[in-house]
Amino acid sequence: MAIALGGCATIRRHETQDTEQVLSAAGFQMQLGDTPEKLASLRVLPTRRLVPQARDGRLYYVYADPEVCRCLFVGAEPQYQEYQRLALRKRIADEELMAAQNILSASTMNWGLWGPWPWF
Amino acid sequence: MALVLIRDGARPITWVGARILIVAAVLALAGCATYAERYAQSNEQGLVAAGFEMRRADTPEKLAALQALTQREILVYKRPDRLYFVWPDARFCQCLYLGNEAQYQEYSRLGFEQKLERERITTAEEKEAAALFDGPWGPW
Repeated sequence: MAIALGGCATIRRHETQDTEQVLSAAGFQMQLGDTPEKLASLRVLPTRRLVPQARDGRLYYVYADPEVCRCLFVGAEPQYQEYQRLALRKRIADEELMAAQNILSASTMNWGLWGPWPWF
Repeated sequence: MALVLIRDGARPITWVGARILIVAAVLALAGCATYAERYAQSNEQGLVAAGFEMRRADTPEKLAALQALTQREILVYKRPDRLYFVWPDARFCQCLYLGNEAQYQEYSRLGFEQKLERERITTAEEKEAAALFDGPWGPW
């Protein structure tokens, strides 16, 4: 149980680091939760989700991570659009890889073992 | 494995086994060391490409201070109002890399592009392997 929980925590940490790499690559600025007050305010925001925040009449996008980096990523519309563009590229690359892996496992499968398929 | 080693009557074989184990452990450790070095080099090339500045630990004091830091990870410092990004490596380059936020963003961008490129290569390899199975081998 402890090992499973530890594994989940590691996977979540890697996923968080991946997301934060893309946020930074898109130009989001990091702000450290380096005081107890800032850390408490980080915990109030939705955790590890990009959410819009209006401030001084402008729209910003913030991503709060009170656990891994203990920081806040802040970006405006251009950074948000760049993040979406990079995330889309990653999603397409992931899907292409998954499709190729599926084709490989289907092609290495000995379908003859299963006899004729009745619906063909 | 330790239980096998102390069994009576199996000593000559297990002694050989122990030596094999020791050699295997040494090789595994060497493999880990090589991997760790390659990981460090690859990241440090990315840091340089992103504009990070390298500073050598060229005095015993600097080296001691460097060793006290978490190794081969990006650490973030605020000093006084700006963020600095530090990559300490006391083992391989005996240096640290120092960058600002713009350079860190560039490092993240390079890392992201490298990840996509690796994924693209793996996809191509998987497709190639699938084509090989479909191709000259005929029906099974």
